[in-house]
Amino acid sequence: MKKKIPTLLLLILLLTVFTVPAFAASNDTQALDVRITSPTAVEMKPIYAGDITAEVTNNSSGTLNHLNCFLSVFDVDRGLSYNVDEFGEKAYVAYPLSLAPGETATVTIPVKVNYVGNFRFTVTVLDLDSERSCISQPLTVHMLTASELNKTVATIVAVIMPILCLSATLVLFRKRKIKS
Amino acid sequence: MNKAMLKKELNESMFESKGLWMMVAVSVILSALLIVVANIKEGAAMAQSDILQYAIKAVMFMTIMVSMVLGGSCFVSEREGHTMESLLLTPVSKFSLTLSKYTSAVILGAILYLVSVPYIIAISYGSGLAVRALLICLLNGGLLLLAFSAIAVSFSILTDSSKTAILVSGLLLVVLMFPAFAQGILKQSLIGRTFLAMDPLANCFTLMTPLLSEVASIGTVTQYIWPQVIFAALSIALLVWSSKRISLKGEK
Repeated sequence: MKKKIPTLLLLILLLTVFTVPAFAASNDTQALDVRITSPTAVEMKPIYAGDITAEVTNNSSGTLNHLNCFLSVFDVDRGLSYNVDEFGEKAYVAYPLSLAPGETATVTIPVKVNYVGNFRFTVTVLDLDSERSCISQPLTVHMLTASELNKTVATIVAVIMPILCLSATLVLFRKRKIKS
Repeated sequence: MNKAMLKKELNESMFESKGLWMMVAVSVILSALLIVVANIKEGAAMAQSDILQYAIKAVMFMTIMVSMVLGGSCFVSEREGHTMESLLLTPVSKFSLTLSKYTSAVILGAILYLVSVPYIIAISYGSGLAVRALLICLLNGGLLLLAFSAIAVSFSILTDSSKTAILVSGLLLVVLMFPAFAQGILKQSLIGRTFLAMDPLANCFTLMTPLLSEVASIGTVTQYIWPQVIFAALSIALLVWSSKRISLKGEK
């Protein structure tokens, strides 16, 4: 029993020594922080054109020189992600940053949303030196349709038109047959 | 242009080349697409302007394809049916003959555009975009119809087989359509941007977004119309040039 207690203490010590770096590494992800400051949410029809402003903060003790900030888009309803160049002419541009310890930078990404649907926009900051990334809180973008397709009119036209075309064709062929 | 020749060509395009049945087929395809779009969840989630853009693209593609098939086979079918010699012996000039065949292919394309008008109106019903959509479909679609029909008729003059004429014209359509669907890096590259600036089909597709989704004024999209006008002019010039080369065997 007397031997077991020191052995147990030794094991706990060894475990602490080897796990501290791992916890420290995971804690380093907090060295970088990004959050979308404006807008807080978008609900618009039929087009939203505006700027997404995000703040990137370096919470670490060293300078972060090779940061890149970019936009990502997720379509909730359809379960798809999209090429962001479809969400504004300069939405695909990545913004390089260099931040001193404690420094905060503001990034403005112009977007233009033409699509109808329920989207989540996020801003990702990628640190190329440490190969780590940080993603902002999602921005809800709900694009409403301006006017719905009139199903009744669409269905009537879809049914009538082939019948009309077919009738016209048959009549013309019949006339030609009678003539000849 | 010789009126009797045009009437003969129109009759051939409508009845013997199955132009009227193609009109029925286009109508059935458009109806099927409209019913699907009006009833599936994804279709209902799209804005009317987006559905309109897809519909106009479908109408243009089908109309141009039908006109190209008719135009691409017009001279070759005369050679294959051994009627070319008698045609060349008539007092009608080669240019007049070419113009009659070209006009009949374009008229059939125009009829197909007219068939699509009720569909465009039905899709844009209530959005206030009907006039813009019809203008795009008839004016821009008309320019592309003039251009691709001219190319198909030219190839029909210059080749020996209708398959070759139709295949080459179809390939040209696909090649010109490809940059319009380029995405991401390819679209932003120098080559991509150059192609997109010059390509008549890509410009036609591009002008739909400002006109239908952003409801921009027509004056703001003139830069997208010029490539189509130039392409149509060049295609008609090719047709005029190739009309001088009509021969019994086809120019090699």
